[in-house]
Amino acid sequence: MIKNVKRLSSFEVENLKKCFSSTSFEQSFILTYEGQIPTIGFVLLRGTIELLKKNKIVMVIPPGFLLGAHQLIKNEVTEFSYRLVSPSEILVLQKSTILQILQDRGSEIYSIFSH
Amino acid sequence: MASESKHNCENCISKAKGIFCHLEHEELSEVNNHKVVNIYKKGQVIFHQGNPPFGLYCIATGKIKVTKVGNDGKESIVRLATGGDVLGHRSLFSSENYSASATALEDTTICFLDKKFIIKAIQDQPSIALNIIQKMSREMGMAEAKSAAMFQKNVRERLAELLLSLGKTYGVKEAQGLKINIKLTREEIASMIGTASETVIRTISEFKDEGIIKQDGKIIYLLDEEALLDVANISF
Repeated sequence: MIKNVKRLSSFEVENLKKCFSSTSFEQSFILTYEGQIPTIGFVLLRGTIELLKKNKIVMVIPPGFLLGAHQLIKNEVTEFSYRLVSPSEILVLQKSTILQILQDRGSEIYSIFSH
Repeated sequence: MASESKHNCENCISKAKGIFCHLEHEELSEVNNHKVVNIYKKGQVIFHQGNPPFGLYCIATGKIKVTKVGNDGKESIVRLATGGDVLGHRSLFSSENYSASATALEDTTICFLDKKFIIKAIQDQPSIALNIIQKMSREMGMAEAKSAAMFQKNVRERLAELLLSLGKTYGVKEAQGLKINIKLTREEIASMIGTASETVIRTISEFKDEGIIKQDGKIIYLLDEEALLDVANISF
């Protein structure tokens, strides 16, 4: 399994939806470039994400995976570029909200980000 | 760590021109904790026209072109941005998708702050809002001037005005003249003044023949700014 790509249970996804809003993308788009720190963490709700390394597809990610959040919190660069390949819907995880969740500790979704 | 220190807001070389210029140590450290710093290579897209905004981009170093693709599929440069400028602010506050794309013209260091943080920072520190308003006002002024020039000025005047404006922002004084320290293709220049690249090439040749400018590859030197001001029909 690729590091920092985490499969979430449907229960976890539903809990994340209570704290974060989702956004639709109509076109293919690179969410994060290889070697950069993601500006947002995200969970794919609909569509497909390709993980690319040196422009080669390493993995195709279906809905239900958490991506980028770990690197966002730790200010770490990603090993891959994350590219949306079809009209997609993603749950946008903003750094401020994640930091707040980690600080408050009491939230149901704390454990998603604390590991 | 050296890289962390380099990207610390306190040491940012564009701090004085940025929206956080009035913040004290403690507030700046909040910005530091929340920001994401990335280096975009030449040609990398920072955001795409039509996509939703998630936050604000503050340019630390480098140069960016902001472009818009029209219904005919043609791309035109709306504006250029450099250290101290912000990107994505209009879409962020209007809650609209990006009306233009931003692309790095050279290796560029950009700090990203998410929307939630920016809104809270503005509520806590109104000086940030004032600085953003100031930047927006300047951009609106430039957009109005550009729009008026399209109708009121000919290509020669528009090109002269653009060269003066680029000289003001990116100019570096050198023995041979004011070096415009940004590499733009003829097509990019043409898209900025609303003409064909062939017309730009012809007009640049005229300026060279008249001794107003000189060229070294893609780099343009302004040799006679007074003469350019006359051609541009403006006074700075």
